[in-house]
Amino acid sequence: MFIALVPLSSCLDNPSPNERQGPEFFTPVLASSLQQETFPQLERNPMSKEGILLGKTLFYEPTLSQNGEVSCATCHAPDLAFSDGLALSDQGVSGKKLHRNSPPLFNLAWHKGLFWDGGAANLESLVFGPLTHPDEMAADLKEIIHYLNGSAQYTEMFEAAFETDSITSSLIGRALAQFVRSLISQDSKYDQWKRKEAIFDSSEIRGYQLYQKHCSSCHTEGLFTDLEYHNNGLDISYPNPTELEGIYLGRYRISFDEKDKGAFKTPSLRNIALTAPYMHDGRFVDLEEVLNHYEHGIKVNESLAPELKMGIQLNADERADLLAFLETLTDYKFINNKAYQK
Amino acid sequence: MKKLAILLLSIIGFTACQNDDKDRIPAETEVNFSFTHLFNGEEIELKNQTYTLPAGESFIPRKFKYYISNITFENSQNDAAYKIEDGYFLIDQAGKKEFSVTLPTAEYDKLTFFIGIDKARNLSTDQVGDLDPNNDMVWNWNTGYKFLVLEGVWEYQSSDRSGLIVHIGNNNPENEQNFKAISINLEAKGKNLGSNASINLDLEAELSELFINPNSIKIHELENTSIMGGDVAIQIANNYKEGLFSLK
Repeated sequence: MFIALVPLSSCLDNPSPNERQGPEFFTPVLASSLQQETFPQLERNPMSKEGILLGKTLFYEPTLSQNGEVSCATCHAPDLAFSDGLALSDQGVSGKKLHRNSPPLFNLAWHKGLFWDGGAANLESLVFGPLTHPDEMAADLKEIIHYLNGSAQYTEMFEAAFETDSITSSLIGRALAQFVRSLISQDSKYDQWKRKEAIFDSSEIRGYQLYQKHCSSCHTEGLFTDLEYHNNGLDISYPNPTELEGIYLGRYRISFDEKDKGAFKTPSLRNIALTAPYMHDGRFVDLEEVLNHYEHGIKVNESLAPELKMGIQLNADERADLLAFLETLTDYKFINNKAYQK
Repeated sequence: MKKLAILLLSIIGFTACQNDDKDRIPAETEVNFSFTHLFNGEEIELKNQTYTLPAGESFIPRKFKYYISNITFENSQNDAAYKIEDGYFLIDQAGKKEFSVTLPTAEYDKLTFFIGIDKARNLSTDQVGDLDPNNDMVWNWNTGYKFLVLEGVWEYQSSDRSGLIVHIGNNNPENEQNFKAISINLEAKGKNLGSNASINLDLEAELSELFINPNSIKIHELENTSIMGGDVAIQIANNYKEGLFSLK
């Protein structure tokens, strides 16, 4: 089959050195400290250099929003590990406050569900949420297509990434998904220490041991999240106003499983020093408040994660050590990576 | 031997018959679907026409759209069936209300189609054509499509007007709840397939049926006039399965 095809295609194509050869697909190199064997991608949307470049350009493109002022990067800024530093953003087109904290974006290729409750099944589908939500970018997808079709730069980029002159919503989703999937954080001091390229001081080592003992059952080492949903005792009960479509119910509004009431996806501890405020609604301004919650603020109800029933008790020294370790998870190479920036 | 002879004879007879009809029976049949939406027997308008819901409430519809998919033609005698692959059609009172499909000609006396999107295609929204997310039919917080959307202005006993919003999709992505099959007897209306190059199937949807059968929905007894999931959505889905559509 191959033997027959090769001469035929070489006759037909007769490629000249200047001719474009189609998108350059690749798989990113993974650090051992990420503890992941493979890099998951969707078969229908393999990552290419051209696709990522297009996705990045769209990610930083405010023209996509209804008022031309809001881009994905408005709430996902690279210097904050692609979060926004706000509890609940009011930076969208309408200026109305959102109901969930803007999550950081990195290592999302491994996530089984996106958003705090995992409601989005894949990045390709997720992007239409923030793009079209009236309180986020409020975009009209038909107008976006019109705008992109009128831009020589974009039509060329779509052609390079997807080998088509037909720009669709679907391809916008796929390009953005490729860029977001390419955001990999695996070069913190912790990663270097794991790879024996850096040394931890004694406080950081004690902090690592405390992390292993108290935190690692949910914040699994490697990605520093188990990618699951847990009720970590923030609230005793969950109001359910119809217009908010179950937003306070957490994972329950997706799974309809009683044990998921008030459960949200375990956030990664990677880059945690950059991603304050904390929790799905940004209610804790700093890590001290988070640790106070785990020490004496746990609200016990039927769906509470059993590991948290007794809380997490740390003395002042232990707390300082744990915070020292958490600082080692900040990935300065990631936030300064020019490939991810505008 | 005797059986073989009968078999041979019947094949000869069959092929002979086919030869006779060769000029008349087309290889393919085009089926033209069209949909008309009624309220209490009257074709609906999305402007300012007020209609009365079965529970006596007044309603001015503004939006009515839904997906038709998984269209299958069946022969109830020999169980033969033909499914239209990759057929997802958005029907919109404010837009397209017809579509055509083509299939190899054969005798079919029954039609089945679904309201909504099957699980396989409901787990992502980076799709094209009628499934393009620019059709205002995808949820923004939960991957998947709205199967049926009815929106408008609702009023009961001169209370304040409020928006009635019915958005029905899959309550639970793990099953196909609210994805409902609708069966239409073609023979009863003299619309069998098999002998014509094209056939028109004009379907009517009587919207009051969404609120009556088998589940009586009284909006004024609900906590809220937004129905976007939960038990009431399931009841309405069972109503669209039962009595919403009829073949003219």
